[in-house]
Amino acid sequence: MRAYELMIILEAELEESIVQGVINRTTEMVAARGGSVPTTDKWGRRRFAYEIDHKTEGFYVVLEIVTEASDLDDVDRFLRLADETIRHKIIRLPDKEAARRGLVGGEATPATAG
Amino acid sequence: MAKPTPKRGKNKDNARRSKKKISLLLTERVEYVDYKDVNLLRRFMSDRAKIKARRVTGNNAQQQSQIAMAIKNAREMALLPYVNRVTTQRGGRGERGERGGRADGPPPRPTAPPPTTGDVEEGTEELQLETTGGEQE
Repeated sequence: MRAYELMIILEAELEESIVQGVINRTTEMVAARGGSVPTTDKWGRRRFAYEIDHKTEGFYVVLEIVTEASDLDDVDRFLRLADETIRHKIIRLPDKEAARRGLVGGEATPATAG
Repeated sequence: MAKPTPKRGKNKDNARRSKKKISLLLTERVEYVDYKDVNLLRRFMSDRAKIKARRVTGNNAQQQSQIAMAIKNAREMALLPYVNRVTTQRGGRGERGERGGRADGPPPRPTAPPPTTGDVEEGTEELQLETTGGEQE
């Protein structure tokens, strides 16, 4: 299992239910592959550092994900196709940092196949 | 002959880098450079939003690499700017711009003084002449 961090930028004017829907969808997709989402952090509206598609604000969500390597392809594709998302980014957390956050604790089984 | 030259070199070297820069990452005990930590990353950027050089920040190669990656990730997610325009006031530029605009502006005026191509100073004089001429008409 590996720890990832997923940041999603959604449109700022979306309703709460739609935002929650996107989050639920991604967590379901992760769970379907046997992974888990320990934390979902909704930053809320935030100003962009520069304009994206003539928008100045976005709704930021950060998820911490623990799953097998390369099981996030579905999530990536879903987010790329979803109209509500402006941008998203998946980052593999280094093992040290993941352990510090308590995401990948005792089960220290470095996957050599990945 | 061989002895004095290296001494000189060493002295120069010591004088120049007598103060060894210590990276912020060390003083603040940052273990993992997070691209979400905007306030930390901003301190490694210039006011024009460029990434500061290693010789400025005192990072070692690994730290600089981590910082650069984090800043670039943060830029992609619009947390940090790619460029930051700093407004600088320059006297010469503004005058030149004005003159150019004027020269394009009032072309249908045959009574204007004939030689209009000149330096900046001449241009201002001509402009004054033109305006006075317009008033007379």
